[in-house]
Amino acid sequence: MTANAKGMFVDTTLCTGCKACQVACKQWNELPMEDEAAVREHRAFLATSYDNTGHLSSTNWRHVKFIEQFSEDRTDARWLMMSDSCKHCEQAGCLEVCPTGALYRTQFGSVDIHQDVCIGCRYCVGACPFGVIDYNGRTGRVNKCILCQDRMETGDGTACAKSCPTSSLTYGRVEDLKAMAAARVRQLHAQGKTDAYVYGWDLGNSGVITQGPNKGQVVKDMEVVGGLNVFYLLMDQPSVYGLPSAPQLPQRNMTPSAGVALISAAVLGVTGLAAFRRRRMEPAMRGASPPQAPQAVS
Amino acid sequence: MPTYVIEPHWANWMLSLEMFVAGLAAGIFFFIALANTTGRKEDREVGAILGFFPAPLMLIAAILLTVDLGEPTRFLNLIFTNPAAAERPGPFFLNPSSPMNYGTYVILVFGALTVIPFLDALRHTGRLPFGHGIVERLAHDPVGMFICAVFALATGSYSGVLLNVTNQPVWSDTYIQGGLYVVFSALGGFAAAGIAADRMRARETAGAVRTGLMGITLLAGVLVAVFVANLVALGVAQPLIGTTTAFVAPAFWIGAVGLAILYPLVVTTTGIRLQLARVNVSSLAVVGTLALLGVFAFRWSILHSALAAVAH
Repeated sequence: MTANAKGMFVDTTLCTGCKACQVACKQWNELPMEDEAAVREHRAFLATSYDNTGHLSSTNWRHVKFIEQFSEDRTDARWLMMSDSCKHCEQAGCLEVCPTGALYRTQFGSVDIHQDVCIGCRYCVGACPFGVIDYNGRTGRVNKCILCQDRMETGDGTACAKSCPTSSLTYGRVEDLKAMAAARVRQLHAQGKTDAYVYGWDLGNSGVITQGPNKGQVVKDMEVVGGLNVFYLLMDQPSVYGLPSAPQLPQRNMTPSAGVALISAAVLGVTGLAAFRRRRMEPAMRGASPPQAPQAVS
Repeated sequence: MPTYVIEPHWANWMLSLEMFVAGLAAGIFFFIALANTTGRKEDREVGAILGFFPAPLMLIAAILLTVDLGEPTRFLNLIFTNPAAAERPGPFFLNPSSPMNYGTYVILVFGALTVIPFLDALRHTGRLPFGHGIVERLAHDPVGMFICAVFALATGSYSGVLLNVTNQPVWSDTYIQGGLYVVFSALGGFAAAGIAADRMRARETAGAVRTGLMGITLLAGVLVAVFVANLVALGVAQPLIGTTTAFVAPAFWIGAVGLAILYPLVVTTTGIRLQLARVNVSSLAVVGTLALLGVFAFRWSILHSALAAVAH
């Protein structure tokens, strides 16, 4: 981990879904509304829930998820809210596959994008296990949360955390944030909220889900992709929040895939050589043309 | 919709076409390298005519990629370290964990090498005004052609490895995309050679193409079986075995399996003659054409399988 890495702790139990963080992000980073295609496809404003953005995109670097859980008779309900963004992974799949160096690790441990180096190949889009990065059709480049790099350089912290009215988002040194998260989980457990655990780092907590469809299931802290510099306190299984339960780096496939390709190429080479040695003549042609002896290349 | 799945624009038709033409160029070059070094006079004549294709196909792939990405000058960032990316050392850019970086260099070298068969084709047809001797030596040198074949096969496998090294459904669920892509690339090359041999009435070469198609389709069949079995075992085969969306499963089974693998395999193994109206549909020209359609269907269906997984 980068020494003195900065990041954010997202305590989902404190989120009220006010979306002030989304607004602050849009405002500080001067992000426009979704593109026209998104508007046509009704992705710009869903109107199916209080979640009005649906997912992260090239112009929505932060997205407050509304997870609405109702019992079948609708007498029992719970809203889980989570302010989502780039996790600035310690082992970032996007950064690992970037073929131009456009994605890079900053001095704060976050993952930023050199916009003038990005070629818009979208390989990082497919490599991110969280579906964070998005291609911007207008600029032909990719975008995601850059953890307010400009604000971090001046010591201001992130715009979203600054605007959060409930301290659901806290910006700071990752080591300090981990200590804060551990204390918060202990506090919630002491209050009987044993659902609480940390997604991103293994701080040694475990508990049992007390509400919703997954009631009774065991949950425990999980360190994913080497740790997340933006990590979460969750109250249900990761999949409930749209997070992968075991995110992986795309590089896991590189050596095996190249190996299979190499073996296949070798078999093809042998097959190709054999093809010119043992020719399968068409039945009507068999015997029509006596096989010639191999000739020297002229 | 899971948030970690690609957006539709990632798998547009242009990308399928790019992969198809580049893979076809690689497959044809693979055949030419074999024909020029181990074949007979007739094989080399077919190889010489096929030499007209790899360079233009690579050019088409480059044009499609440029149109897809928008700005041709951006490609330079794949090769030279952009001054803004000061975190990376050296004038040439190489991210060792990015298959796209390796692929860029491989394709660059392969693209340059395609000039050799193109010039040889010009020489063969009497259109090369100079350098006959050196072009002929280059095009028929066993060591040189072996190196060319290695780059051709690396180019053929590139897209598969590229898709494998992602976090997308189907694409990254198995390890064998690289193998599948290189085999389908060679299949395309032999299919094109079959069409050429048929049109040129090169019977000896047609015999070699038949043996080659038989072996390659067998290999492709084994890999496809392993691929599908792997997906089934993981419980993620729905995009390819179901009829969920966008003709992915029909394209895969009818195109990739039926036209590209089974039909050539049956025709070359049994030597059967099939007439449809007055057309001999078991001729290498027909088999090759259908196989090429199947190879395109393979690339299209694999590329779109991730989207079908989302829809499912």
